[in-house]
Amino acid sequence: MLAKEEIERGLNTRLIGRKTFVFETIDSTNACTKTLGDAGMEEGAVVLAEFQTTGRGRHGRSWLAQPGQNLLFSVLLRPAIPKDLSGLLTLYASVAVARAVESMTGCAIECKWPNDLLLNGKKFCGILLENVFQQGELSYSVIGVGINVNQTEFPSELELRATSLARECRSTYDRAHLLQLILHEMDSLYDDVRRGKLESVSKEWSARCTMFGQEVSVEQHHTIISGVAVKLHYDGGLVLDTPSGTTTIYAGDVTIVG
Amino acid sequence: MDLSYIKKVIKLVEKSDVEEIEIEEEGKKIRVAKRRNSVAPMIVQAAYPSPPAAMPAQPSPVAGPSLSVQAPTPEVLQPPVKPEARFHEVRSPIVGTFFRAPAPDAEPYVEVGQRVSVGTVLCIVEAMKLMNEIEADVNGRVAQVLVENGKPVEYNQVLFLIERS
Repeated sequence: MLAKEEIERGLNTRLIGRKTFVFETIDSTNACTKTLGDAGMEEGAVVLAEFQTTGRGRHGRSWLAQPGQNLLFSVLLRPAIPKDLSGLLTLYASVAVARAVESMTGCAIECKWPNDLLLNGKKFCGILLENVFQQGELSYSVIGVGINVNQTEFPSELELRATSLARECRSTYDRAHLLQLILHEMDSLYDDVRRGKLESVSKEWSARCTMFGQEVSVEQHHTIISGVAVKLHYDGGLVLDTPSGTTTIYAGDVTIVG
Repeated sequence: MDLSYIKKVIKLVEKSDVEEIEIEEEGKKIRVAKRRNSVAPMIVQAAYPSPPAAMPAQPSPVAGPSLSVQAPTPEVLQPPVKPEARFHEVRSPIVGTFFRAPAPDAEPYVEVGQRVSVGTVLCIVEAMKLMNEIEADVNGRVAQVLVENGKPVEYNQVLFLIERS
């Protein structure tokens, strides 16, 4: 089990991870972090758990993880950014994780729109952001990160789509050290992010995205939209060139065609 | 957009052949329309809830008399209680998909008729797999849910009407 001291020792960040909460088992690190957010906790707090009983994926999908092998944590942030840019916080977290994992493993990380990180085309990390709006403005943001680090066994239905750092990079990794690297990257990027300067994050994310130029299809509100992924919109939406013109999508699961 | 500006607009409409004019400026909107069979214009809508002080969204002791200076028929300028005063509009801060419950099989966050207070979660607007929780910013009762579960919503679209308590 990861110990609080292990995480905090040598962590040289200005803001992120200055306060950490470590649990063996918790319902969900995002839910716990939201409780802290509601209670007025200062930004930068990190909640980590070895096991989540109701870990949430997108829209209630649960995230299955073997205890003691992976990294599941959430970060509380209160950035002063325009609400239309709040979706870019997912890209911010993705870039921080990608940088940290690349520096630790030497393996190249791909970004998949909007919130997945891939190794050799398989997902090893998911990011679930929850923003809370009050009075029409972003009150706080919870960035939930789940990384398959040392887990090597996966249910057969996930074998083709899911993976871990250990499986792809053929080594086991020190999870506390990886977490520290991620928190460092988040911390150094956050100076710009908190002030709404997200262009460089968007650019770096795009450089890691292998979707651009490819034919993709996406189901949005029970309609299938097909087109070529062109670029990110300024707010993080995915711009598609379709036979009926250019369109920006915000919802749905995107599949690369062929 | 202050009172004297609104008065000018009313005067302008009154003297012209224009039946109706709508002006939107910095998030505030007024619509001045002539009532049929009457020469006096009437403010029929003063939408956009913020900021409250700038707009005569409801008849107030201050707004009433000063507006009536311009009006040949004062009763026209005593409109019925505006819905905006009683009902608070909760709008979507982003483009996305509207969900009334945290998960497909879960109970909705709120139902029509339910009492809510500042901070009560009303819904989720999902965009880019990001869950945006929208909280009530007034105390009151859910009067209307204006969007169907799972439907797309636009930026600034009204999602709920909350009857103020």
